[in-house]
Amino acid sequence: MLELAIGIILAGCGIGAGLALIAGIGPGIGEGNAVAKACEAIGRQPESRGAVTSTMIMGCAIAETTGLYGLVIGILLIFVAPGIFVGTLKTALETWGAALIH
Amino acid sequence: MKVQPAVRQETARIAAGTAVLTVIMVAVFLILGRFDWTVITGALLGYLAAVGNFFLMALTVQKAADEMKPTGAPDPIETDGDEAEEKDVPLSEDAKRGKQRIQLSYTLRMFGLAAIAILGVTLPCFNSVAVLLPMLFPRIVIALRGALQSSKH
Repeated sequence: MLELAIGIILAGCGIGAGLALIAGIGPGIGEGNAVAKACEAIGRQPESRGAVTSTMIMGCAIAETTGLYGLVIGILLIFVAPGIFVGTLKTALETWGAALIH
Repeated sequence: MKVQPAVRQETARIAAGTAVLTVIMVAVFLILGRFDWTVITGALLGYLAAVGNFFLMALTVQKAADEMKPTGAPDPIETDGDEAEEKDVPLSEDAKRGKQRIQLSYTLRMFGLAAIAILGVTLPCFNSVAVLLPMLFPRIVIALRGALQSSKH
């Protein structure tokens, strides 16, 4: 029974990490589109290169954070969360399991 | 490749802001009584990863902008009374190359950050929270800067 519960926890963590990492797809596409349009703007008005580059860097940094959030959550779910969840489950079983049996 | 002043300036601002937030994070560890030397090594690794990632992204953007040749094309936004409508103009070859460059750079940088984060979480000489948190600080610095600028105006 405990093995099944641990298996469900690990599967949940794996699926959750996979779902969190989907968030990394959007920023890549969005950043590409933003840079392409900014390049077009620089092509039309080369004198605005400095201002456009500054704005583009800030925009890309903001867009990228979404992917980073997903990455951090995914890594926490894979490497940190299973240990915490399984530990909590074992403690709960030790505490309440004995009470339920008696 | 020569680093443009805009890139240098923005990276310096982000590095300074992230450093301040990292110091605050270490102080919070100290206040909570969870401070040890792994917090320092973790904070250092996370700070370097965050600033390095930002600098590499800025360099890629600069390279994409540098490779763009002047097209001399007219502005595609035409104002018709109060309404502004944007025409769907196909991208030039230089713009397409810039788009592919930033998308490739994003993928590679994410792999690098993932590798650093995994190292930080698995190795016992780094505190995992102290590694992961500074990676999110550049966004906070940008938001704070925006808020400060808007409050000035």
